[in-house]
Amino acid sequence: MTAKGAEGGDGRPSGTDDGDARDRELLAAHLAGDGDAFGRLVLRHQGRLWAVALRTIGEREAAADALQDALLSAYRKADTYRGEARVTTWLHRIVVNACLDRVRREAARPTVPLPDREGAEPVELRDRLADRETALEVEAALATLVPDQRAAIVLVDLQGLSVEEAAAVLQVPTGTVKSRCSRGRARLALSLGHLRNRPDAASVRAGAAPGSGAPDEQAGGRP
Amino acid sequence: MSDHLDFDALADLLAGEGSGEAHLECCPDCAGRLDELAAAEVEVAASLALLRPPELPAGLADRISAALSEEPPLATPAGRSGATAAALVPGTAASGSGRSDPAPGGRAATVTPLARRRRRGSPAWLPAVAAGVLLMSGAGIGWAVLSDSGDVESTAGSAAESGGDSAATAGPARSSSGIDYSDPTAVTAALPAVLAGEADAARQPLATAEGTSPEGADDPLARLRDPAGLASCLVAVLPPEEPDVRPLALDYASYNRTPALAVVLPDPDPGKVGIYVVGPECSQSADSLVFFTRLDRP
Repeated sequence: MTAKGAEGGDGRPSGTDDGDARDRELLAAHLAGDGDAFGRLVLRHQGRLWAVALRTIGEREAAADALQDALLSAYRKADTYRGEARVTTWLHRIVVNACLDRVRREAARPTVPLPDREGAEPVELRDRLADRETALEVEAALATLVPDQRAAIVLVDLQGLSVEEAAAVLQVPTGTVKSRCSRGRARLALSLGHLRNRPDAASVRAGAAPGSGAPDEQAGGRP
Repeated sequence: MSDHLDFDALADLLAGEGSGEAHLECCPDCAGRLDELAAAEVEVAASLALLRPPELPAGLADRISAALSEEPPLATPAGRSGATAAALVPGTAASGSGRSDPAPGGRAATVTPLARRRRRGSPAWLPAVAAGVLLMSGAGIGWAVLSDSGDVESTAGSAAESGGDSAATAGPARSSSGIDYSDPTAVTAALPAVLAGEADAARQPLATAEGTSPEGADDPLARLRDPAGLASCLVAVLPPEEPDVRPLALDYASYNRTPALAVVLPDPDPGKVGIYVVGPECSQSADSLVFFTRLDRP
């Protein structure tokens, strides 16, 4: 693998039949022992996978490490790909899982206090980013979301995956993806000041942690 | 206010996933909050649209490439790998050098080393019971099985006795088309005749590759015309997981101007066939698959 540029990768969804057929060719060639095939597959999608990793984790070094780990994992377990989903879906799944694992591990460290997502954070955030570009504000606001909501928004709203594709990547029902996206957008609306009247903080359970009984985490999920 | 819908419940309603519609009908306050949230989410969507895909950091691609290059070649269980490759590649292939070969129907084809299609650790997958490798005799009629030693034991007629279908009992269709299987157009055109055993170059003028001799003393494929040589090759080609699979057709032809044998096999998809093109050295112990593709069955 020598080129840095993406082979047809423009950071946007590339789930065409032709593209997937080519991806399958490369994965099959990798399985067949072609030493360059997986590298070429990575070249096709690394830009987009980088975007997913960065925005899911929110920190460049950690995102780079997660992306590398994920791609090595994909290399090693390529024979587990069953051909039922698009290759890009499979790759996204591995990258997102690697990112979420890393975020959760970081969050579990006792020396790294969890950010307080309730209270005055939105106001502080607006104040802190008052002179920055809107895009930077959005990036920062994204980073305040709980990982599951952030990942759903990254896939659907930023990467352009359909709800069904995102559900396949995240391995949750489509209803869960819709719920996570909507809840995440609602919190972004708060963070970005799009809501004139802040709801009662007690009603904004930022995070809606897994197992908290939030609808999107109910056993069995949604269709 | 505990009776009012909370923030998450409102968001779920916007997603079409909530269950608070009844409350909304009797609560103007919540209905108003919902409207406000809906408008806000539209603004959020507009804000998100401002984000551009981040550029890959300088050096990360090289770093990943270097990490991948340090990985050992993938070593997968042979049978599974072959099955996976077949599932992955509906009529596609790529060679060990990374070259992608055009295949009939406009699709590329994947080269799968035969070693990867064999069950690991069982090069003589033909078991003591000599389960079912077919061999067509020189006359194209009889069958044979290989014993553990690899010797050919004539079992002409055994397929019929065991209830094999007509194709099996008749043996595979056999041609010497001489066509070049790297030419998708030629393969597509010839496939019906190959399956019918009527693709001989002498019978119908098909593009014959240079260096491909007809049957004779200088025929590079002579060994694969010999029953024992063919049987040995088919051990490598036939999927070990599916002992009942029988070739539909054999075509003595070429690939990239090099003499080659095309073995046409049934595909799990009844509407398709699998074509395995092997080199003259194909045998039970020598992988020589040069091309594989799946095509629609004519």
